[in-house]
Amino acid sequence: MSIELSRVSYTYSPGTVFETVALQEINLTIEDGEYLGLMGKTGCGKSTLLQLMVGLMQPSRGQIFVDGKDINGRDYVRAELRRKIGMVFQYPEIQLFETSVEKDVAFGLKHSGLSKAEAADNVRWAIEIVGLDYDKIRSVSPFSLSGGEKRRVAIAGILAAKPKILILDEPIAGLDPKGRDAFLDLTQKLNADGVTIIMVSHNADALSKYASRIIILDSGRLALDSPSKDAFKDLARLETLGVGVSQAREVAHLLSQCGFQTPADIIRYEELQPLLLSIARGGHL
Amino acid sequence: MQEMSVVKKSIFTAVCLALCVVLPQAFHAVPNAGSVYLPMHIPVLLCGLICGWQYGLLCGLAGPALSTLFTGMPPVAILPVMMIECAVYGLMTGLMIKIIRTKKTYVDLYLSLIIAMLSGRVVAGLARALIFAPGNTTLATWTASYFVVSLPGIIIQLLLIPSIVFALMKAGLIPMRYPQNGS
Amino acid sequence: MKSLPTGIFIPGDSPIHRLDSSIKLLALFITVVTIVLVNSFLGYVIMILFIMMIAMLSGISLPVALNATNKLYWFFIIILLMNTFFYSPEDAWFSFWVFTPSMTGFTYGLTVVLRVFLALVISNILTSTTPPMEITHALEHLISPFSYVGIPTGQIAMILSIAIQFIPTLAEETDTIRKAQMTRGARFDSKKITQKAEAVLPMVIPIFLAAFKRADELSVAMEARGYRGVSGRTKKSSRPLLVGDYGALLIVLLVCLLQIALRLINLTRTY
Repeated sequence: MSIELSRVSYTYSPGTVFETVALQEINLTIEDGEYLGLMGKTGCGKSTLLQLMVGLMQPSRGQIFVDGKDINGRDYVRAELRRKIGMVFQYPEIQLFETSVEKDVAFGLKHSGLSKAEAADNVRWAIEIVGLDYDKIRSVSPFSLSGGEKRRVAIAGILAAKPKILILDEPIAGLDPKGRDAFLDLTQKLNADGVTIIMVSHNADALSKYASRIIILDSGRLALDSPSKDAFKDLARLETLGVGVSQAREVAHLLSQCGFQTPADIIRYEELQPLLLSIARGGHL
Repeated sequence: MQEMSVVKKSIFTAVCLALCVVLPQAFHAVPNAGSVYLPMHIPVLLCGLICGWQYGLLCGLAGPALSTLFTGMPPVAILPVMMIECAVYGLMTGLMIKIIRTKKTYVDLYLSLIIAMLSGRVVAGLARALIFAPGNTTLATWTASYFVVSLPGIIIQLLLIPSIVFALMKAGLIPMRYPQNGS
Repeated sequence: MKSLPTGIFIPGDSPIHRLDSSIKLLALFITVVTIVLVNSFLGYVIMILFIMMIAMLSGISLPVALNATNKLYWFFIIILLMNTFFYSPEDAWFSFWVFTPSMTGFTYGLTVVLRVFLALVISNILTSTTPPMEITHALEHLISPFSYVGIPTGQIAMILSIAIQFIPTLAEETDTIRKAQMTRGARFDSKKITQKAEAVLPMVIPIFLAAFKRADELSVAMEARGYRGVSGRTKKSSRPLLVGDYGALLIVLLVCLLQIALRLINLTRTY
């Protein structure tokens, strides 16, 4: 399940006074099982990129291949793409509409060709994996749930189709720390089961902890593409790109400015902890 | 459904008006949406049902005009008839839902909607025949354009609008009509 | 939005762009009324020249100015044919079944088409040169006298301006909802009527919930700040009217008077 973008460009309202170039000459390959973090300031082209990948928009130029097939090719079956890729939009809870949680989660399976029993299994699995009690919640109206529960139901509705690639646009915005961690752990678990994760987030702590590769967009161009441990080294450059770094990286940087020798690839708290302990014990590395 | 404050009704009317502009645009993805789903009628009918006849009337008059202003649809040529038609929808759903009380919410909704939809079409036909295109409107063309072409739209709206009303009630955004039996 | 829709504001700095929006709206009303009054060949020539002059002054290109009429060619043709064949049975060239084609009918059809066409072009010029917000403010301004007959114009104006502020937000939200449901496999292309209704439910219900939720939050916030209704809302101060504004209005009124005069002279001919 790889995604390959070849010289992809996208222009909004071409040929009018409102013409804007959103993406320019993007070349990118995302392999099976990757956990990719996508960053960049507002308006850099992140959302456009995601929407091109799921086929909601067609590139102005260039091609996008999923599993080696051009998704905008004439004989490509869109339903195939819908089955493979799940997309969680920002504040996904607004997409709820059914009269019961169970029906809403099952909505995406309507045209999937699954048998009734298989579909019911998927629905149960999806509701349970997001941490909800299936028997208790299945026949409740989704509109009467709390905000956090609504979001879980919405995400279950996307997971129920068991996508092999999961694309997430700012999925943790507006969640409390506990809900955030629970959700990020869920993405990690899915990733461990072989699901490719592509996540847009401003939260550098989350991406440092979970993503294995970081991509940064700037004015529609690919500004950085590297393994996450190398992605946050050049703080001055990251600042011009409008991207923050994790607290651990921040502390390590402050320490190095104070004369402590700290490696520039510390991005997680677990990596920082031994260093802090040794400094506290009086040892200078 | 009439115990909301003036402020709340005003703002609900404002979003219904905004949806008169937005909804037809959203339906562009759907082939023949304009004549099949009649998307602009939905917020107008709902506005009358939820906020009352004055608000429904305003929504019906101003909705099509705002839409023309912002999106160019409907074209200016058919705007006046559309305004009259929608004004009657908003007015009539508001009046009917106030009068009809059968103790069953969906019965009230269906009756109000059907009466409003019929009267809106009659008035629009009359307006066309007497004012806007005299000589070009006959009983046959009126029946064709207001009932045959839009028949699916009428049925779809009868299915859609009560669903929306019930969803809004469930979400606690509008008060229930008969709180004692939960609808 | 893929292509530029008709009547969308196009930024610019022409004399028409700079006119006061209330004056522009008033001028539009007068012009449209004038168009309806015209009943002579000379009158139409004057009107066409007048509107062409405005179009040139506005700096709006000809294709854009005529945009509004693009999709209406069929409408025009049908009006023309209907009038030609049915309008005037008395002086028909010949009569066949219900058809009574006549020159009178043809010319009448032509004038109807021309009137609609001119009204569309002039309205299109207004909306292309004036931001929608300003048109609403202008409308608010022009309807304010109605408050003396008991119409709550203040409240109406408030509802309208809130509605306009909601349009971009709701448009974006609607777009997101549509896309989200599409990635979940929603299909909008069903054949049966009941299925069609079902197909749009996943889109329409979330749109209304999202919109009403926003409205609910706003009304709670407004009431929490003690807002109870409209009384003496502070008016948005607009720039004072300039000589150009009065001049433009005067020109439009003169054209209108000229047409009335022509109509009086030309009473005998009825197009």
